[in-house]
Amino acid sequence: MGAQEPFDIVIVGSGAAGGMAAYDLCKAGFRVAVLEAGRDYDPGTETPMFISQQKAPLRGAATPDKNNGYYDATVDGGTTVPGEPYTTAADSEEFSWWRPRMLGGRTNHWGRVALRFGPYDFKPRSRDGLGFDWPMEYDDLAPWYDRVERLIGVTGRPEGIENTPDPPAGVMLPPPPPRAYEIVLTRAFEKLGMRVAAIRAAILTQPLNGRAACLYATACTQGCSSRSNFQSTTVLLPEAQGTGNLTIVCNAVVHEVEIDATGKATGVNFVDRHTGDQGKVNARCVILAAGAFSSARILLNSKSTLFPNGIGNSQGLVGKYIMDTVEFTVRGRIPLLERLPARNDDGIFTPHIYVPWWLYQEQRRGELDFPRGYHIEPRGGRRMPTMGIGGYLDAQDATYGHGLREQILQKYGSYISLSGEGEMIPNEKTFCELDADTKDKWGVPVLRFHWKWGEYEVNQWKHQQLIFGQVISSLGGTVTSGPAEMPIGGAAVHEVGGARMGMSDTDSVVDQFGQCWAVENLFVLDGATFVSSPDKNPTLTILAIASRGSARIAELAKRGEL
Amino acid sequence: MDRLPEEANATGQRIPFKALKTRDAITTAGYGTDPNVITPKTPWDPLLSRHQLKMVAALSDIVLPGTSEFAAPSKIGICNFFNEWLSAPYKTQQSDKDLIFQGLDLLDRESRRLYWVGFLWLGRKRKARVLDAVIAMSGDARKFFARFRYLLVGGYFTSDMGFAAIGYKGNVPLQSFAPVSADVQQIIDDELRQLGL
Ligand SMILES: Cc1cc2nc3c(=O)[nH]c(=O)nc-3n(C[C@H](O)[C@H](O)[C@H](O)COP(=O)(O)OP(=O)(O)OC[C@H]3O[C@@H](n4cnc5c(N)ncnc54)[C@H](O)[C@@H]3O)c2cc1C
Ligand code: SF4
Repeated sequence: MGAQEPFDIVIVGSGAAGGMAAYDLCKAGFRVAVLEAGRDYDPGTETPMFISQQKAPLRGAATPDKNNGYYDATVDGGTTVPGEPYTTAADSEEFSWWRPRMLGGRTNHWGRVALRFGPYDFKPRSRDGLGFDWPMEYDDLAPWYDRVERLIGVTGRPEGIENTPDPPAGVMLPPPPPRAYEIVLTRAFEKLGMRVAAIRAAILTQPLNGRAACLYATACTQGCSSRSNFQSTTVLLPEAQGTGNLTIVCNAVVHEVEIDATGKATGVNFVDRHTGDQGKVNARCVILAAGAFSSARILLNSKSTLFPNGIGNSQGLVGKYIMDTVEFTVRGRIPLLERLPARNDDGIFTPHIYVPWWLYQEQRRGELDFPRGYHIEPRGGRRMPTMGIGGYLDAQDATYGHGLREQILQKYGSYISLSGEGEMIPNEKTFCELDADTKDKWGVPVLRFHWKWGEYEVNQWKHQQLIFGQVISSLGGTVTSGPAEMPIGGAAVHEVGGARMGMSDTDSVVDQFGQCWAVENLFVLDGATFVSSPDKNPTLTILAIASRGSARIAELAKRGEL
Repeated sequence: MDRLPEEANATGQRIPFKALKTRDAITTAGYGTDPNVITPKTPWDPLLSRHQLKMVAALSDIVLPGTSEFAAPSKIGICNFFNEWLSAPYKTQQSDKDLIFQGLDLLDRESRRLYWVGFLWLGRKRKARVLDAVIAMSGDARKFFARFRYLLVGGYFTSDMGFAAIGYKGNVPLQSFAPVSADVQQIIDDELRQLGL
């Protein structure tokens, strides 16, 4: 690497945020290095398309090695990463942290639901006095959403639903037609007063920018070798590499940002995950995009005389106000679906419809005991059988023989699930910090998590239970999932917060462009900067914010201000 | 039936029933956190004895018989599936192994009690009666049946043939995804009308 140094910019992490920044800044002519903790990964040759469960060990079922099943695209990670532990404080509620170790990060196996935040979502405190306002408005980010959607391709239809922005004409890809079960559910949703919207998914329903349209087969969470969904490794990094300006270094685990005596960042220090060798990459500007909590950890571990508690942490705000989503799923069986003839329900993997939050008026009138909403993602249909088929049978029912086959055939396709994705309000008791005792295999302090859902999240979760039960029973169905439990913190993998943006260095770690108040040539561009965690899944917003921040970096660099 | 029940297993070792727990300490590794997903391989050794494999085949065909169109489980490699599953080093599979090994043993014992010969020596009807007797027991015997059936239907319907048997029509490339056909829409409308929706 030596010859090219110092780079103009070094980016830590290659997922949504890192990939987006690399794309924009390489195209803008900067010489960029991306350091990725995981291994190189090539979706072109490594994606299992049109799989046979029969060929996979254990029919592809989830194991401690592959937590989301054998064919899931996650490499070297999941709820545990070998050699890279984290801890949960003794008095904390249960917490789980999903991390992969691969080029492209979680964009290789994410769920591809791509929702914009709405105008309310940036000003939550002004609306109900809880949490914090963002230092920007929806209108500030709207052009960046447009830009990102044009680049990656997102389905949708103009809906005109409150706090659920429609992009300008020509930006959205046509949504796929609803599946049979979705038509059925739509009637139940509407009966209960909800508005059903076409899904906003980062999946191509027509060719875009040289990428092929979806083949309507194979789960997106396995990746996509036809590049028909959004992955950093198919959409962003190859284009960035095409400029000749990008150097990617894999297996480089960054542990600190190095600061000189004047308080400027000079680059980052890393360890090679295989050899354990230490290395440094020098650059004029440093971008953290390692995933929200990982970026916070790097800030905390970047201790120096100037920053004895870590960079940007003079107010003790790094690691604070971390958030996830209240993601809760109810499963049910709807017998009328049994009577529909066999058909192909694979479609674009995600649901083809969803239900945006619909009770803003009621909340305004104080009729609900929680102030923030959730949206509903319904799943179901005659999808590829998994080992879960055995769950169709009640353990108390002793059926076997021909009756058993009949029962399976009859029930196949009659199950649906309703997932609520709800807003969590940041709170003082939910944060991460460095663990004084535990270190990773290279001796770097790890994160210790503290998790506590607030009363409003619990109330919202109860509402989800109630409503999902009503939806299912209105269709003559029954709930089949067991007793409801409050979701585990972090389990939705909508990891945000920990280095939030704000109006000044007293209330935040970075400004609205991700520029660190304490170190002007250091930027945080991933979900760490989120001020709130609306019900809308975070990734599209991470991309938009990373793109906006990158444009700011380009502008400052060109003005010689970095 | 060429062997009697208490025979040597595939590796030449006798598996004493009570000693099963100590075999939990199996050190075979799993497939790791970065397996080849294009040409999958199962790295662990299969543990089931020939007798156990025959028991699995016989019981599977009783629990989920084939039809004129779709073969019985034993004909589509269900034994390999069970052998792989029950030999896997992961916790779920290890506890399944204990339960299923003990259950297969129980079937044989119950068979001897009722008919004086091992399960494999029985005709179809008597096999079913032995199974009924096991199902009628409580505790682990009942758990064994439920778990065996769970694994069996999972293994069967996730096989390539099982996809066809259950009527799964996907996993094929399409140019576009078609809206539901008029006849499906008609049925949906009729059903919903009956529900007042
Ligand atoms: C199963 C699943 C489904 C999901 N579904 C959705 C969905 O439908 N919609 C949605 O909006 N979001 C979804 N998400 C969340 C989505 O994946 C994340 O929001 C998004 O990927 C975050 O982007 P990121 O760039 O911040 O982090 P990542 O994509 O995780 O990328 C961070 C990268 O940084 C690397 N890294 C970490 N630490 C270091 C270090 N110290 N040094 C160097 N590199 C480092 C990591 O290895 C990783 O490659 C889902 C996630 C999962 C797991
Ligand atoms: S559903 Fe479409 S986009 Fe997703 S993996 Fe399959 S072919 Fe690719």
